[in-house]
Amino acid sequence: MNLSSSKRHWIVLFWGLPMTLWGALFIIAPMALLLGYSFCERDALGQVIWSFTWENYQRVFDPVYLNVFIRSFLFACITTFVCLMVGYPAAYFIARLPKEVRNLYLLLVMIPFWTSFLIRTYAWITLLKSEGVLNAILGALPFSTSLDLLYTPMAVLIGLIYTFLPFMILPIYSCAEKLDLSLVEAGSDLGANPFWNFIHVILPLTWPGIGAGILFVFVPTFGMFAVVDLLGGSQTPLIGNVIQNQFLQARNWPFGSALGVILLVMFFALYAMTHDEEVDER
Amino acid sequence: MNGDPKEKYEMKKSDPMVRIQDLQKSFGDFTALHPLTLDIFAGEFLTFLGPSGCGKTTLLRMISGFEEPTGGTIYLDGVDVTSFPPHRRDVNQVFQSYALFPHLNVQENIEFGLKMKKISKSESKSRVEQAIQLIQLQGMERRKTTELSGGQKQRVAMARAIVCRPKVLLLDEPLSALDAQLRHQMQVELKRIQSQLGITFVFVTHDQEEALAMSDRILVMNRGSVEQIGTSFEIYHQPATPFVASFIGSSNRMAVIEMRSDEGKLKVRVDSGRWISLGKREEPKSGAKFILSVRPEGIEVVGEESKEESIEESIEGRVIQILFRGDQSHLFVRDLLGVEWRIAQSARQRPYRVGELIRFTITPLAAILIEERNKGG
Amino acid sequence: MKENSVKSMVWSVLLVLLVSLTGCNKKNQESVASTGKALNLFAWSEYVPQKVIDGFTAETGIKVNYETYASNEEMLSKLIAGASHYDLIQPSEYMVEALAKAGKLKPLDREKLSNLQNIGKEYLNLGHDPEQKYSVPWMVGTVGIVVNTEKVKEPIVSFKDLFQEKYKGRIVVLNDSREIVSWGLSTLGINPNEVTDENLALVKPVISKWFPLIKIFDSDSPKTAMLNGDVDLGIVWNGEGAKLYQENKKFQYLLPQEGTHLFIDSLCIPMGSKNPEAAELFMNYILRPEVSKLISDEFPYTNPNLEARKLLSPEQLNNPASYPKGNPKLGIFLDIGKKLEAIDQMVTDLKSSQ
Repeated sequence: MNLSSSKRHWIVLFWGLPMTLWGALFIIAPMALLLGYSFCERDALGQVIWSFTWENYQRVFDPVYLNVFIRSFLFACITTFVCLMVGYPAAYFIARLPKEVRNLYLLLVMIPFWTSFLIRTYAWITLLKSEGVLNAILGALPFSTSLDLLYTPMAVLIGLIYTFLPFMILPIYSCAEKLDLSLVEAGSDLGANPFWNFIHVILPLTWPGIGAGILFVFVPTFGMFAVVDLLGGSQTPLIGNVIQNQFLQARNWPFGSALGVILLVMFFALYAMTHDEEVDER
Repeated sequence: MNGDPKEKYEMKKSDPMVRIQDLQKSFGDFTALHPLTLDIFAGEFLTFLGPSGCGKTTLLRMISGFEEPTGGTIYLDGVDVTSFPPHRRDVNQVFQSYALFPHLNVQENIEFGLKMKKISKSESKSRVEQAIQLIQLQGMERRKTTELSGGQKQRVAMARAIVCRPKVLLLDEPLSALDAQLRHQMQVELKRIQSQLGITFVFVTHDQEEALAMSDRILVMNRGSVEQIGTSFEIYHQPATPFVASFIGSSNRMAVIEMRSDEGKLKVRVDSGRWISLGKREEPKSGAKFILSVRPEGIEVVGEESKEESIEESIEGRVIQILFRGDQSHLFVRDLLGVEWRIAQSARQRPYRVGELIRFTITPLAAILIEERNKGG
Repeated sequence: MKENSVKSMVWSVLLVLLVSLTGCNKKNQESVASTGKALNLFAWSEYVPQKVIDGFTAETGIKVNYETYASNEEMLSKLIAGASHYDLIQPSEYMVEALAKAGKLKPLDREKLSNLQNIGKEYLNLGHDPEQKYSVPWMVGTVGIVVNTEKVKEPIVSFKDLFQEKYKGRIVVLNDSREIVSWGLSTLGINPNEVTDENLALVKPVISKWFPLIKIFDSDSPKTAMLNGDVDLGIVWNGEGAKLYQENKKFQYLLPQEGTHLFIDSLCIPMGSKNPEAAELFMNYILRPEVSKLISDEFPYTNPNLEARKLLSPEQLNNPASYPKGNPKLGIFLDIGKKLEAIDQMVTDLKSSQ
């Protein structure tokens, strides 16, 4: 017994080693570097000087950046909310389709990702610009109106929602697909009308998918910068733009790192929150 | 059982709890249920019995509201509920897979229906306590349903349905997932619960033994239509169709090719050529085709020594196989014409051996003539 | 089994989506062969014509690996992160100064740069490289105002003319904090290189009035929004202005009265270069008039090579964006080091509090 367990230990180590190395190299190391930089200073050229200072973290709480944090949070919340409102019914609908049709619909959800994210965002520019497709259609309507959407916060939201909707649909789908329909029937048999049945049965049973979806949408939305640049005309920066600026304009890596660390801490907290609830549900 | 079941339902015939009128269901070209009319009486234990795919589950799901009938009407306690969604029907179902909510514990599962019906807290509490007592799950209230055994899940599913005090409790093969011993135990328990509560039970099963043991009445179904409806006794001893005769219990069945009435005594010639006398009874209307069905218990081994007046009536054969079933044995006997017979032998009789020659006679009253109905599908 | 495979497909696609998104910003990451004979060029995207590279290789047999960046700071961050295999970089003037001050550039061997004499005197020995020790001008340019004259009838000659309430939502400007601040300083008559706290405090109320008027901040391709008709006015690089003019004469480029930025994109040899001889060969090669002309053909900035200008067509020379008429006030940017941070914070603040 002893011998075999020590043997197993070596086997685990052997197979676990590549994974551990990979994790150390690509996950732990960059994070440690980020954390390290965030306490450093820099010279006029922007080179990091190894020293210790809280200055970068103090600066995070400057109203200028808090403002941006709040806005980013708001954008991420709206995006996540809309994705959830649109994605949940879509995912549930797809999961209830007959198998062959279901895979086709899944494919439709995924197809946009076969082209580059940038190309798809440029396509949105073509759709939304003032002499673009959307306004051509609106202009052809009898009540002929036009919308000046491109380079507005609305365009940023549209771009974010479009980009991250599949991240909401897919995890909810994989949860809804496993949902035992007899439980839904049981709910309705026990007197739950469709609304309460949804609240008390379907929602709790698909919560793991919702939690994953929220995490998958909220986290990248919070740090997104490309959509703001391309569809928002860089008018109102989100935290992702600010971080990008620290590296590409302001030559301030330590401050950029501090912002990054704050984001990471927030996401860990969010993860712990959704994960906790999941444990409670079980 | 509680008295004569026949009498019990005769009494209540006046007020059916469920009235089903010309109810039918088809899925595209496939007819799941041919038009059916049926009354279910308050307090009775009615079983839908039939092989899988016979339409019994479809019928049950139409009563609970999960399937929409293609035609016909369902009245529940005098109210037309045909168009009511499940949550507005005063019936509850125990699902085959139990369908317990995995995100709720035992108590929360049982409370669910009461919460939906907005029953007051105190009322709900006492009802749940009662139910837990009734199903004997005291002390398990906080358990997760995933931690329960099959039998315990079954009890929770029962409790969850009965706390709602439904007018009719629908049970969709609720015991099929349990092992034999537990199943027998639960059969007794279900009967106990039903007689304690007096709720109308509609039970779906493909297990004839279960059906015979528990039901006041049985509805035997095959291919979307009703073969027979009657008490367990009627279904077993007076099968109305060849299907019922073959599906319920075991029987020796022979096609009748000729009939003769002799001084009020009826004799039939069966397909092997043998004449069998059926005692005093009227000759059925001619023109129809008949099958002679004899239960194994309706055949008596007379033993080789009793060579008396009935010698011409007795049949000689050789034992080819013996199935020991505890309270009785079934002998498989091949007669001189090569026909195989299944004969029940009570445990009191002397055991026979394979290869032995025996004589047996058919008890005339136990032999029944069943008209072969010529209907398709 | 089937269920499982569908599930695993869903998850793997999710993973791929995440990875592809995070990777969206990395383009043109060609691996660079570090053979002795190769020249590793790290330059702006869309700034070095393929013809020039091919010509150089044909003549010298030296293979050129062209890696690109989108901003001076992107190049800088790679350089200080330890990338040491580049032989030739293409910084703008203030970055030349910063790099030289930090000792990141190799001094040039003037004897090998005989063609440097082709460059106009006004582009040499400027503040960022007073002795022309580290850099060879590649192209120079200005930041100026472009006007869609079909939509905007009033004459516009200055930043002040541009930033008026009636043009609200019709303006695109470079998404570059230092540029924006320098325009503000110019309108106040302050030297854009004098970035002090006092001057920033003075300029803040000026440019804070501009921000609500601006529809788009875009450094990469400000001409797109002009061509699409989303905006009618812009402050853009003159190369973009020249292309707009080529596209349609209605797009008029002009230099603001207050004065503006003259940028000088140069070639430099980073300290870590393993092949400085090839780098100098390349520098001298592009200083030839006929080679320099090829650059002008594709990228209509201002060519500092006076001999090359003689080879250009009248049409090229008459493009007001490439070769503005008159005697405008122009100034280069000097390195302001850590002051960039204050500028960035101010602009972020102004953008956020709109």
